Amino acid sequence: MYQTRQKIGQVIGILVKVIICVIFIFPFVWMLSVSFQTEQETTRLPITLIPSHLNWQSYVDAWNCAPFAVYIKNSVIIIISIILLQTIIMVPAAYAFAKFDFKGKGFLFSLILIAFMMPTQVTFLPVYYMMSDWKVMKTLLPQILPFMTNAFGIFLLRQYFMQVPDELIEAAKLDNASEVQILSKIMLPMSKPGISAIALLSFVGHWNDYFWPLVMTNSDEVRPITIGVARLKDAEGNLQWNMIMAGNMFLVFPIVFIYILASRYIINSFVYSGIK
Amino acid sequence: MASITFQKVTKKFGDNIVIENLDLEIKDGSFTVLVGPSGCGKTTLLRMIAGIGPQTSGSVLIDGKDVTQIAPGKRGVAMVFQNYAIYPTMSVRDNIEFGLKNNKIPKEKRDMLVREAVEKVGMTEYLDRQPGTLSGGQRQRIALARAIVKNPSVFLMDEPLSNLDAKLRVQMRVELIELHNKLKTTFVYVTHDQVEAMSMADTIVLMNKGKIMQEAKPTAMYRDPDNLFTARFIGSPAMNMKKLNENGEILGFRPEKAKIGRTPFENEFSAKGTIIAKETLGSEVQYSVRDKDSDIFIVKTEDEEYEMGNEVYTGCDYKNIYIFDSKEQRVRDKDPRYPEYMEKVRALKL
Amino acid sequence: MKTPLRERLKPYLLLLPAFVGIALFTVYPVIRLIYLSFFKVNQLNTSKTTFVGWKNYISLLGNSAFMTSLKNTGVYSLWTIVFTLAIALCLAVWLSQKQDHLSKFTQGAAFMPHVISSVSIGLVFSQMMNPTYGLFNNILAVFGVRGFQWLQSSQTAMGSVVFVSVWKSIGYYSLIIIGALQSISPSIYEAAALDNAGTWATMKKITIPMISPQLFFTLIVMTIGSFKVFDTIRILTDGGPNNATSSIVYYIYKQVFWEYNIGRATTAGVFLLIIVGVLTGVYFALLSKRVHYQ
Repeated sequence: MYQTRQKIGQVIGILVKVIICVIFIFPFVWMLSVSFQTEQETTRLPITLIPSHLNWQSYVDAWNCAPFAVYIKNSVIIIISIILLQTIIMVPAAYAFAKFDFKGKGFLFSLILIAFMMPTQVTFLPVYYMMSDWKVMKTLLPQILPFMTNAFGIFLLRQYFMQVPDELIEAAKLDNASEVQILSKIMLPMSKPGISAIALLSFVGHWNDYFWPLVMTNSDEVRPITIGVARLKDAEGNLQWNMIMAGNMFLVFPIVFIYILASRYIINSFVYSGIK
Repeated sequence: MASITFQKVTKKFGDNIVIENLDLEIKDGSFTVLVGPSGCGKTTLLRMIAGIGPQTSGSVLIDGKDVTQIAPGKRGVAMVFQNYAIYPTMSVRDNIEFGLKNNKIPKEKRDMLVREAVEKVGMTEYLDRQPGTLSGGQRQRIALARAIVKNPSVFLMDEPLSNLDAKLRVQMRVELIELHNKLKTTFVYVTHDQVEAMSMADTIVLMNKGKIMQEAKPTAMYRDPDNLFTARFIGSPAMNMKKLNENGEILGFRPEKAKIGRTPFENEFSAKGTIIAKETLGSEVQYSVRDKDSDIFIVKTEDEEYEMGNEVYTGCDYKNIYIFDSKEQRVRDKDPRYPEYMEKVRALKL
Repeated sequence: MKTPLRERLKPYLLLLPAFVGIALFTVYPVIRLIYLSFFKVNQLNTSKTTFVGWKNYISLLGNSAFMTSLKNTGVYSLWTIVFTLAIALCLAVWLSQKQDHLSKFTQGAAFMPHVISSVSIGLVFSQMMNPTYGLFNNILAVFGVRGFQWLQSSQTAMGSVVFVSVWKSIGYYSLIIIGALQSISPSIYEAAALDNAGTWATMKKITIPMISPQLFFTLIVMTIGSFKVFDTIRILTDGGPNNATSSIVYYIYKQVFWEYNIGRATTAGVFLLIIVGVLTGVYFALLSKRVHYQ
């Protein structure tokens, strides 16, 4: 009796978990399905659940109806630039907070905290004016420069750096190492996992970013992929869902692909940052 | 007050068999200590009694009743954990009361029981404190009070003293023995420390790799080990050992029964060697003597005249020699094989 | 005496680039925003920009579009937080019990929406919630249930938006709570079992109190996030129908890019700043008071 109750409990447990998986994965499967449907299939009732064949035409149409090659190129350049810029800036800063004592340390650290919590929705307008005044609106700079200081990255790296034993650094100083050498040969290697986690978070965050590019871009030559895909919905005439979903796949597929490969790593990076 | 019986108990973790077909009877009212090296299965057995780590097959009986299908909270069993497992967000009072509340004991009775329990461990002034403000030893007492208040038929303890400092440990040992004498409930106590086992138990169950090596009173286990493992595990410093031959047959003798001298011993075990260490223990001296095969014998004696580097002889009366056969089993003097083994001992030229 | 000064300057030099960024893109914009909110800004002819003191604030509080967006944001936040927290908590408690492959896979599946862009999620749900061709109403029809208007009706639009946001966030917060749950030593649960505590009693008196610090933080982070909502709304409803789903940030966006009313936009921005600021203050106050359970 006890055993059968246990067995039933187990089966229900498995069933519920499967249902949960379906709830969270299904929309993406549906996106895939619609992207392969023909226009008739998307506007016909009853609706089509599984497309009759792999209709790649919607992908071609989506790609052609807006300069997606440019959009993707922009996104890639923006992200790489942000990650590089952030790394160069946050590594020395984290090092300073971790291994030095100086006047105003507490105050400056609270400034970092404030920068971390400050919503971009509050700062965007004055930054827009600033970028306008600097006459860089036709470049990708308004989507890169404002992110130069990754406050969260400074936090995280500071934790890593604090774990590097002081004796190691003192020994290096006795060997007449410069700060640059200390940074590159001791601190950086010790914090590689931290830096890659931060880079990952930055990548996902900026690949998916919509609000900031929306308010900072006026022309197709600087728009990133999120804006491009969102605009598919504003296209003239009837909504062509298959084309919209195909375009959506451009945005979603790289992330899902990376996620399937490295989900444990990605989850750990995000959750650790959340717990902090 | 209850006896505990294990019948053909097996425990598997996945494909890993930790305990196989084990039988054991723990007497009602005893203070039984399960002792052994890490991984021997002692904690596993303890958790089976509680029901928090159920057996894969076999039965566990408490007071003759099979408890396999009975939930842990309904077995009349209380447990003190190694890390105390005090509920950190509840006050001391709430911690102790928690089980009583769940069993729907009315408030007045609860208050009385809690007060009694907390008095028994001497923590009455701490009733309204938070566990985070207490020291390790104090938390230990709270864990104890929480167990006492249940008025259980069996007290289980999983290395409860291992996280305390040495002085506190000795003090708590005495308190636990006194508690046992007062309550007369069955105590099942797990430890890896054989000194603790020897000092507290009325019955020791020595385990190794999921098997019971010997079950006996402390003195019996010390003076009359069943096998080589027991002889080696029990006793500090450990028993001196010497191989009889290459077949795995071994002789042993306790340091306090060993003698030391400048000339060979006649009609007893005698081995020539050099003193490599001398430890003065106040009332006694402990010498470490290395023989020609680089075996080391420890001799405990009052004789303090010997010094490092001295050439000496280690001796031991044949009647104090323990013999173990090639299967690591003890060969006692009533054993028919005893005389031929003793011949081998006498034949040793050391 | 070269060493002391050079040594003392080193940390500041190391921090300089980071703080240039902070000065330019955090400190300055906030100051400018607050400053601008006291002016009636004329974008075409800046010399005509006049100082109006508190006028912008007073008129904004009387502006129905703004007040609606404020109310909407509050309603949105409340429902999103309640549902997300409740479901994430249950899911976390349930999934953290076993760590077998299916449980881990389920955790991974639930988490995935968090790393996907709100744009993508908004587009898919837009289709699924389409009253005629969308997936949801058609599936409901199979069960004989009449379809909803979802995003098209001002009655159901907010609920639909909340639904999407909750769907996106559950997995992420679940995993954070699971992390917190796993910091509880298993022997606590064993002690509770021996104390004859049922599932509810254990949850109520042990589990939740023990993770309550993390729950508080999560709550505040969720709240701050909800008040900033924009992407999802822009894609799903564009603030409509009839401002039914307009949020504070959406209102600001419209004021800047459609109404060209910088005064209202900056003032609303200051409101947002104050709200987020207060929540952040509570967060850090809690952080310093944090109790450590051993």
